[in-house]
Amino acid sequence: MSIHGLRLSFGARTVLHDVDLTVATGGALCLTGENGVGKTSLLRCVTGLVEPDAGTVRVFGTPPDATAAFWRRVATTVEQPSWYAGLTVREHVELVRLAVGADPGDGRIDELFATLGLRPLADATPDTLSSGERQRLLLAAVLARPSDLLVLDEPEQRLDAAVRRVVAGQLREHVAAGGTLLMASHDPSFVAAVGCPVRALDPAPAADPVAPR
Amino acid sequence: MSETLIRAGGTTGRPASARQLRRWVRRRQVATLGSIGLETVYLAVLAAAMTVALFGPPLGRTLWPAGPLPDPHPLTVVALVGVGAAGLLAALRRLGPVVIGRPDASWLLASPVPRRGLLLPPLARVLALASLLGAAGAGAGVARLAARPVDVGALLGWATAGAAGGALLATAATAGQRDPAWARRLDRLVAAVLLGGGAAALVAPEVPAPRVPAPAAALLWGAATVAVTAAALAVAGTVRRLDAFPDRRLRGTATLVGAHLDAVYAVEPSYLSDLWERRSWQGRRLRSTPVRRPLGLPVEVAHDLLVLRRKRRRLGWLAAATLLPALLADAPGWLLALVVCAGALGCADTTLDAVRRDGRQPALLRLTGRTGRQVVAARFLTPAVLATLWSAVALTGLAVRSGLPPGPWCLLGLAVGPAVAAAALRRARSRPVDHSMPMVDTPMGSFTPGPLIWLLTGPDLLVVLALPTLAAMLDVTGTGGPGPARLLLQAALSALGAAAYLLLGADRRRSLL
Repeated sequence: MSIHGLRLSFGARTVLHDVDLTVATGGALCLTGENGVGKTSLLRCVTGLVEPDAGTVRVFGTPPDATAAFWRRVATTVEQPSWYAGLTVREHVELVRLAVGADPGDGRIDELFATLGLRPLADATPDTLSSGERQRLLLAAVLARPSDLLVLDEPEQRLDAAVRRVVAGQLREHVAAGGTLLMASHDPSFVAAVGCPVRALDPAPAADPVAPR
Repeated sequence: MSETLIRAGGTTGRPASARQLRRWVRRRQVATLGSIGLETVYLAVLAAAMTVALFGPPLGRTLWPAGPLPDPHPLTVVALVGVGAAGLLAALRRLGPVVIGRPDASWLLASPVPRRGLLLPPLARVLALASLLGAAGAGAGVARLAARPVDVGALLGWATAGAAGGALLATAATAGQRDPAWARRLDRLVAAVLLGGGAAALVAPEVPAPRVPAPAAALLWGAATVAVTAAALAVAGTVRRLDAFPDRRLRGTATLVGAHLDAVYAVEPSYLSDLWERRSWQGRRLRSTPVRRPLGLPVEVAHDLLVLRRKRRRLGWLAAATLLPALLADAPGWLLALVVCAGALGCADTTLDAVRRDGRQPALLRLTGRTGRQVVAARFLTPAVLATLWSAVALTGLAVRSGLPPGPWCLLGLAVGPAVAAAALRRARSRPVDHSMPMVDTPMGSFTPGPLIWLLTGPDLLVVLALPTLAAMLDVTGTGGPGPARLLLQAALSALGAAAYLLLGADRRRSLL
């Protein structure tokens, strides 16, 4: 995955300015920085959810084109899904795993539910979960399916310390198995637990005032 | 007033009454926003006058036809009274029926204001509305059954009994809102009366009809007095229990009614289906079932079948509703066509909430890595089966009871099913109302076409793809029933139309609906 000269603005506000970075296949990188430096925006550019103003983004050698083929290789927590009504937490995760061609009954989901503390919530519906529980559900859905690249936005957010350790372990396993990881985080101890290199994003320079004609 | 409120704030410990609070809020609103302007009054009066001018005459003719029905069957009359009462009760239960505004639910419910004072005005409104509808229903019944000229005393007696009946239904609905056990009992009663009434009306023509004379004036007024006394006692009991009304139920109703008012105000009804769907699942206790692909079918079919299994009650109602066209067999052709189309579309819509959800927010679609075309094709299967079965049974029942020309109506119902499913799918995928479209000028004034286009998205496709069936029901060509040619034409149109919609109407590469 490579990014060159990435620029992104929202109106008059420049969020990303000439960002370059590369993550090799099977590598990992964690973006850090203050609120508003553009971590989430960069992740959205990588997943093709936002079109940059300038620069190139290439994932697996091609621009992120938002096709189903792209999404079969990439899983992300950058956006919160609108969970289906009338389906339980467990059924959502099984549905995701089944859809990508994996076996939902092979024990992977049982393992994730046990380690992420989702077992008591298996029969609940997502709309009854707290924000932390919903974050665990999203992580379970993302980790339950095989993917070549994980793009995670502050995966440690709203999680208990014990669950953070579990998630860090799952991410280490993903990278050890040859997967690629790009994430943003605010928690140095979580980043250390994952054990991936860090890239601190700097605030983009303020836009030049409009020159008088 | 301010002094009273300040005292209520803690110096005397005596809370202000709801009436005092409301008056104070109203004064503050008038002081800030000004009182209602003449322009607003003018617009309201004009709107009311136009509504009466447009809908008054047909409504009057419906409520009060020129003459009574020739030889009405008593069983049908009893069934219609039962269905009308059950319908009113069901509508009141859906409405609340005790509704306070969202600001009141947020601020006044959290204050130590006595509930009775807070809830009396909304209860009075519901009682007045239900009494009015009860009286109107009784009057409409008299207009259909009584010989002309109608005896004014008898009309007044029936209207009084109807108004008391309406008030009784409103108090029952209020009890259901307050107490879940009562709610369950009432819902079961409504279901039994609706199904029983429908069945009675269906078999009435086959049962010999005894002559039932009009009741004597003394008997009628005696019954009306009993009804009024019962209603008064029920209202007194309801008022006494207002202080113990649970806040949670009042907040839920305030949110629901507020969302509907928002939809009307913003002419944006597209999110209401999501609201209703969420509400239908509220309080349900689910148990996880292993999600597996049935017979190698797509994963979305497994999801739809799971949802279908959990919507057994809705399926029961849909099964009962297949007899509705047969019940209305004597109605004009356009009404029958409308009922059949609405019923089949509603049946096909049973599992389509997932499509609406994925269309609005495709994050789950991306997580599953499926293309729009794959998903649309898979989500089409269950609605197609449902609509096909519903149309076949409904048209068969209609053909048996009505004067429609003979023919293979059941096969025509089977043939039209996929067309209905494609239309329901198009409806579920419709985007929110587009308010940016240029205004259209008409002799009645200008209007924005966005809401109309949104409303017709789905039915437009149905009209095109189900044309042979609709033509047969309306017999517009005067060629009689559905012969083999019309049947083949419908089957071909359904198959080609649905295939074209699934192939051309969805993204074949991206995870987008």
